[in-house]
Amino acid sequence: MAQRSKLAVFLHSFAGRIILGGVIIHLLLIPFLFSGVLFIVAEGYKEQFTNHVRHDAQQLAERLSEQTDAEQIRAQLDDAVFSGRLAYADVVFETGDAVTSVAKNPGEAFNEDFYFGEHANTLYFIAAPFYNPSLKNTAILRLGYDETATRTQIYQAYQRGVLLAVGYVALSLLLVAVVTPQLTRPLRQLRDAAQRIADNDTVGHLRVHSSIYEIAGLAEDLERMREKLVDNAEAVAVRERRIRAIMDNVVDGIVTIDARGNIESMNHAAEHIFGYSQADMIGENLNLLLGQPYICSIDPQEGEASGSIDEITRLATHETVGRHQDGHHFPMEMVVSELPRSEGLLYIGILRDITERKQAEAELKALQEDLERRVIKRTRELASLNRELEHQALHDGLTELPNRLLLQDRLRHAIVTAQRKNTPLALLITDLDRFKEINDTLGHHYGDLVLQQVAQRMRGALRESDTIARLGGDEFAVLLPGIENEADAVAAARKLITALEQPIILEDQSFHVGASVGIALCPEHGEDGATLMRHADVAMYVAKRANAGFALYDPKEDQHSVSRLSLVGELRHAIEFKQLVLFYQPKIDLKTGLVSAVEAVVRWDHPQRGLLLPDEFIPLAEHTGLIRPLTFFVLDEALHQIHLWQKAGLELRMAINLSARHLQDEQLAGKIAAAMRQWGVAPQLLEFEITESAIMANPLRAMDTLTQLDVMGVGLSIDDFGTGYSSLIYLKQLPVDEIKIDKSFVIDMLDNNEDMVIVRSTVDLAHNMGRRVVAEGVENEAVLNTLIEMGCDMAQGYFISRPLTATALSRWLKESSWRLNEPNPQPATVDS
Amino acid sequence: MMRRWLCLLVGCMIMLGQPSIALPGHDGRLVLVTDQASGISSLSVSEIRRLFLGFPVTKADKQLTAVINQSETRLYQIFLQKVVFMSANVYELHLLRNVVQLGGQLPPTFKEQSTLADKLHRQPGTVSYMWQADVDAYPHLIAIGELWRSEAN
Repeated sequence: MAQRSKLAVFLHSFAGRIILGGVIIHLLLIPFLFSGVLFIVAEGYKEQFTNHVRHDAQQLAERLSEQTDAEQIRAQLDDAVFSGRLAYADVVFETGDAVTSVAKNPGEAFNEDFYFGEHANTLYFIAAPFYNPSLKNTAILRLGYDETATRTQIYQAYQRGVLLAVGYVALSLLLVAVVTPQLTRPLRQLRDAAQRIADNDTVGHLRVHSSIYEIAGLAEDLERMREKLVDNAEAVAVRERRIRAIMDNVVDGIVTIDARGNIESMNHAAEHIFGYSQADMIGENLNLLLGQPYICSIDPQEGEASGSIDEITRLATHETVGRHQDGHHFPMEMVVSELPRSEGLLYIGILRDITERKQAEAELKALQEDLERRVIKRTRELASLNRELEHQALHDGLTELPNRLLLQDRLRHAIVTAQRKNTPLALLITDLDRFKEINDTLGHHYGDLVLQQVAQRMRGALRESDTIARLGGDEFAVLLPGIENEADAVAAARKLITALEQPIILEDQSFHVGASVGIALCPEHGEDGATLMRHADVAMYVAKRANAGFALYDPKEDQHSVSRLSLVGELRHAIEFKQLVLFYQPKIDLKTGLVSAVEAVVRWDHPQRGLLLPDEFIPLAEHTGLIRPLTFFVLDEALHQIHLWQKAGLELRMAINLSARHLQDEQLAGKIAAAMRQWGVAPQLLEFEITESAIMANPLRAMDTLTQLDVMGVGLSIDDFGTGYSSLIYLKQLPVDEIKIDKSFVIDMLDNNEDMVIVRSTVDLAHNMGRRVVAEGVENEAVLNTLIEMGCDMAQGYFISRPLTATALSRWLKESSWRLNEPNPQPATVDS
Repeated sequence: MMRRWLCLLVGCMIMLGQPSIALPGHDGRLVLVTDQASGISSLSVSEIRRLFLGFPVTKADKQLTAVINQSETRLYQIFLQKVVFMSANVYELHLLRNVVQLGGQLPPTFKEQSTLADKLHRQPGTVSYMWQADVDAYPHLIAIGELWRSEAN
């Protein structure tokens, strides 16, 4: 900047501006003011002169009109001229005569003026006509007044005005010069104070005294600003100390870098990470802290122009390698953020030694890989297990055949396919004929082996494409997709029957297991799985009932199925509403010929079908689980009857049949004991008959239950002995009192020698084991006598008596030749 | 901008500082005029002077009214010098004093000659003065006396 002259500096100062402003104002206003004043003064002088001239001319004209001759007129003119009032005067008469008096030669012809200064001469000419009666003449008075005096007055007025103006300006400038320092002094003080504050010299209060309100206010404002700055500076210092403390206590290294990549500051953590002291690093380039492989091309000499900051930023967004003072490299994480500031961008780098994290990541990665391997292995295992579970869920564990669920699924698909291809399919339901006996007699182990062999044979008899499923128990289903006609289904059924007719050899024992097959065809007999299953089931029952091997579904036969289902409901109802009736068949002691006991047999007094025998509903009850409530109904009725007989004085032993299911009931003994207590029946009056096959279904369980009953004191008998596969070992251990020979051996024993041998051997066997023997099915006297001869202990059969109602039994006891085995040969009325 | 204002201001001051410039009359004859309906044929010098100095003048039983014509400066100055023998300020003070002392009204003053002519026409009995050349422009006006004639005429 060019050096300013002192005048320029002064003119740009506050005082200079005030003085300059004053001068300009006066230069503008004083000429205007004084010229106006002088104009008024001059006009006043001119007005005064003009008025005087006009008035004086008129007065002189009046006086001249009163003069009597020309000499008097001349004398008047001379008097006026010589008195100095006029410079020139003449009178011109109408006749042409003239009287003239001159003090000052006008030097020019008379030319009347009407303004002061008109015609640019020094005289004011004025004419005044008058009439002189004495002279009887009209004349014109012409006068010339000297304007010089008035002009001089005006000139002097101008002179005085200029002098006054100059004096006024001088005085004004003097006053400005005196007053201005009083204004500028506090302003200079304020400027000095502001400079001190700008130079960070905020110590000490600002003291500027001025009577000028604005300056005093400005000083107060500046002082407040200084105090605020002091406060802010203290706050900034506190904040800086806090930030510094935070920076020095954070785990991450923090480095601030200027635009050229040079380090401006760093915290303790950065010192610790890199091994340098802060003093060593201030001003050094960031490259010093970066590992060799990641050094960026920052050229400190070139600074920002090299574009190195971008590179730093780019570099810092990645994991990089740091370099320690001792030279070793370490993995480092670097994050750079930008902070705009007046002297250029400030880069804040947050640095973290991630050696431990890298190690942990490596370990974690190894663990992860190991985990992944384990997961894959476990996934495979689970998949395998899942397949196995799926297989188990869809297959029968014993035979490995598809189960009902899988069959239903395949059946659904097969039906859809058959419907799409418009081809028939067949569903066969197979039930083994004598499996129950094998299972009950030899136990589940043998039953399972039989089922496995049956499954094998069925698989061997059918195509690979056919589905053979085990529905449960001894019931199987066969799905035959893609058959041509009904004959194909029948042929498959025959193959199955033929395959199962061959004896099954288990542990050197031969078993004959037949099969009944029901056939349902799609779409003739049903177009959905459930219908086909039901209809095939109906057909199977028909085949089984007819002992025909197989049967094709016939809608007419379906009614039996319906009636069978309704019979279940009715049986439940009959048990609940006591529609079942007990009949009692006497058992005779063959040694005494007396009635020693009765066997309670149940009949169903059906409202529509009449009296139904046990064979017509007991299997149904066993199959549906109704056998339990039915048995307890019989037990309750029997005990009730015993109770009634006891009240009537009749001591008659009662035998009740128990099914195989009851032997599996651990609470059976407790329930029987409770019932006996309820009716007050002594245990020796009660006897239970259990079939041989029921015991052999689960001999150990049966042993427990029978032992409990034996302990209670009730009698136990093996029913239908000889029809099953009894083990003599078990038989010997069972706590039974008697053995009942099945009626199938007794009825024909006189005609069949084998039966005779069996009966005799059984009698001998029982006696040798210390058991009583009861023969069932005694239907004639010859058999009775043979049994007596054989030494059989007791007999039961139609020859002695059919099963009777309680009332009929009472009557029979009175009327028959068989006597009651009790002290009182004539019991009181015995009735239910 | 500042300089322009300064120049303008100085120019105005110079203009104001200059004395009024008299314009020449239309011709060299200043006449006394009235409306034809006034019925006035002439007035004596004395009647004229009294009329314009604010004193009552009756002519033909009619009260005359003076009207001052200031449509031209020179015309007015000639009137002052030839009729009332006073300067303008003194004449105006004289009229004002007469009104205060004697009552009545100040003579109306017109700066537009056409308005003055209309006034003369609408109010017969009013008397004013104008250049003879201008009288011809107003048919209803008549000159009833000559107040001044230039030597050129």
